[in-house]
Amino acid sequence: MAESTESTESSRTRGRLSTRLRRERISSVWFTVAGCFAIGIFVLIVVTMVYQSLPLLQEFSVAQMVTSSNWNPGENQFGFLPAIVGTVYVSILTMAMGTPIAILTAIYLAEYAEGRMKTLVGTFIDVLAAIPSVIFGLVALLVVVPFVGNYLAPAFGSSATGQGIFTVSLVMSIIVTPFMISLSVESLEALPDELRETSLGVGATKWETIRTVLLRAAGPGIFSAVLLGFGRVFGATIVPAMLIGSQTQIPDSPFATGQTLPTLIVNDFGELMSLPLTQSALIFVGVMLLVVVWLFNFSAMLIRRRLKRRWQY
Amino acid sequence: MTSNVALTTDELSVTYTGNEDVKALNSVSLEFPSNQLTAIIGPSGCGKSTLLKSLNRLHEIQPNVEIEGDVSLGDQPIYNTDEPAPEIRRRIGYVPQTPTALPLSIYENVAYGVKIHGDYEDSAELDEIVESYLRKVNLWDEVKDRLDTPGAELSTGQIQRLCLARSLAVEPEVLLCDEVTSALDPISAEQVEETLKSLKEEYTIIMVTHSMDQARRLADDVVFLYLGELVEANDARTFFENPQAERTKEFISGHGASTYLEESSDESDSEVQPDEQADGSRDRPAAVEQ
Repeated sequence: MAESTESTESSRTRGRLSTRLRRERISSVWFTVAGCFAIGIFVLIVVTMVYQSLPLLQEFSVAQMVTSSNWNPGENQFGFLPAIVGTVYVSILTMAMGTPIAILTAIYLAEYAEGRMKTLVGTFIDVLAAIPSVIFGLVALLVVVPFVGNYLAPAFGSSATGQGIFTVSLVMSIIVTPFMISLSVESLEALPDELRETSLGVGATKWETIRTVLLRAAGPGIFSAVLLGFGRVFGATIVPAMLIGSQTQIPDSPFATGQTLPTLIVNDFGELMSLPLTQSALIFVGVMLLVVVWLFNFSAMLIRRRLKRRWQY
Repeated sequence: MTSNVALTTDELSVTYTGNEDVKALNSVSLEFPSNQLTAIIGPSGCGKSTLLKSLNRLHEIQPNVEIEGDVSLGDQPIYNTDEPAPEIRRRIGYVPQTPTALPLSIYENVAYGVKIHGDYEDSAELDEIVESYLRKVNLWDEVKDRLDTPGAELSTGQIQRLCLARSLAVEPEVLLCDEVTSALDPISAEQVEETLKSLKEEYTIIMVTHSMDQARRLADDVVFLYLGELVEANDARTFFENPQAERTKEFISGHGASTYLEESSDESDSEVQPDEQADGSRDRPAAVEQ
């Protein structure tokens, strides 16, 4: 009696074990498939885009297109220089305005703000980050564009409608700053208190501690935050499309209208996609964007790794 | 022993305010003799670290901390004073529990405070200062060929000695050490202990420890805290051999007892002779039997 119970029990557990092991195998297959999905999508995008831009590349050389400033798809003139210059211009101007503000605010929030003030400022920054960028674009059309056109540009001696590189950069810097702040605050707050105590313990002031110790220790994180911001500006579409004036020319001043690579795509794809070569050209713009963003991320990773080693704590 | 007093606390109380006020330190009055090593001991949460950090105003960096009473360095108060906190903290150095390398090279780690205070003429003098303090903590020979590498690449034991060098390099009068060996392996801990032993000739060292054995090995004086109250402060010999307060007796014997009981219960399965265990333990096994 006792023996038979034992043997049914053991056969039952054995049966159960094989079911469990089968589930184990199946589940690992599922996870692998889910992981490979990302690779598949990536390959699909790259292959499609490269394939679709081949017609253009067979007609013109990349060097020629990248250095030409004639953009006239109707007459098969595909000069990307204005959009490239516009993109670089906007990105640099945005980061030049946004980065210092982001880092200062992050330091304030992580190291100086206390209690209610900290919650208040922090909450507002999160709220700003959650506003869809098209709303920033709308408000900017009503407020920033007239301000730049009527006051700021004339003050610098240029006449402008208010739409243009500077306006885009200003608004983009307001859009990306909250992200950079949140990420930088996280890096600073993740630092162990011992770093602060150690530095203060030899008689350093708070600012000396922040400058020499905390900004270095959190440096790789802050650096990533800035680069993520850069990536967002680089690929930003809706705000530049609303505010840049969309004239494919090389901007001669910060207040001039212009074009960025993404706005080139959104402004032209509707009507001009019917021309095969133009479609190919716009897709090639996409390829350039992708390549630049990847290069950016890759070099960012290398630099981050170096910083992490150099400023380890 | 020596009558010189380096640091005095006068009715020092520390309260953590918040939803509920917690009094971590209740009206503690103490004298820390100069050029001696004073160990602060007591069970976890008794206010050891709180006391240590309030001795050089390091508690001020946390929100929700209220401090009453005062601490005096020599005869100069450190709270009710015009002297800025960074200068107080230079004179009363602090080494945290976790070995902490600043995100700087080994050289810059030691030079950090010196550079901030500008206590040097030229780079040659700074080199000398860095070398002399690295020698003082017995680290120079291990790092002299790689002064430019990040401090964090050292082992934890080396980093802890680096911390000592960094703290000493600004020439503090008092050095506060918060369980500086607790994060270290036994060999590194022994090296740091050796370093502390050699330093106490020159400096007033106040050290928090949770190891009674360490207190016995290193301390000239012992301060015993319990639930934020000062129970007993005495020279080490009297403290361990002839404790005055009832609670101290309990703590010393209880501490020994718990060590002994843990050891013997661990071994009980393998039937090791209990006598050998008891003899091997330097704490008072006699108190256990009751």
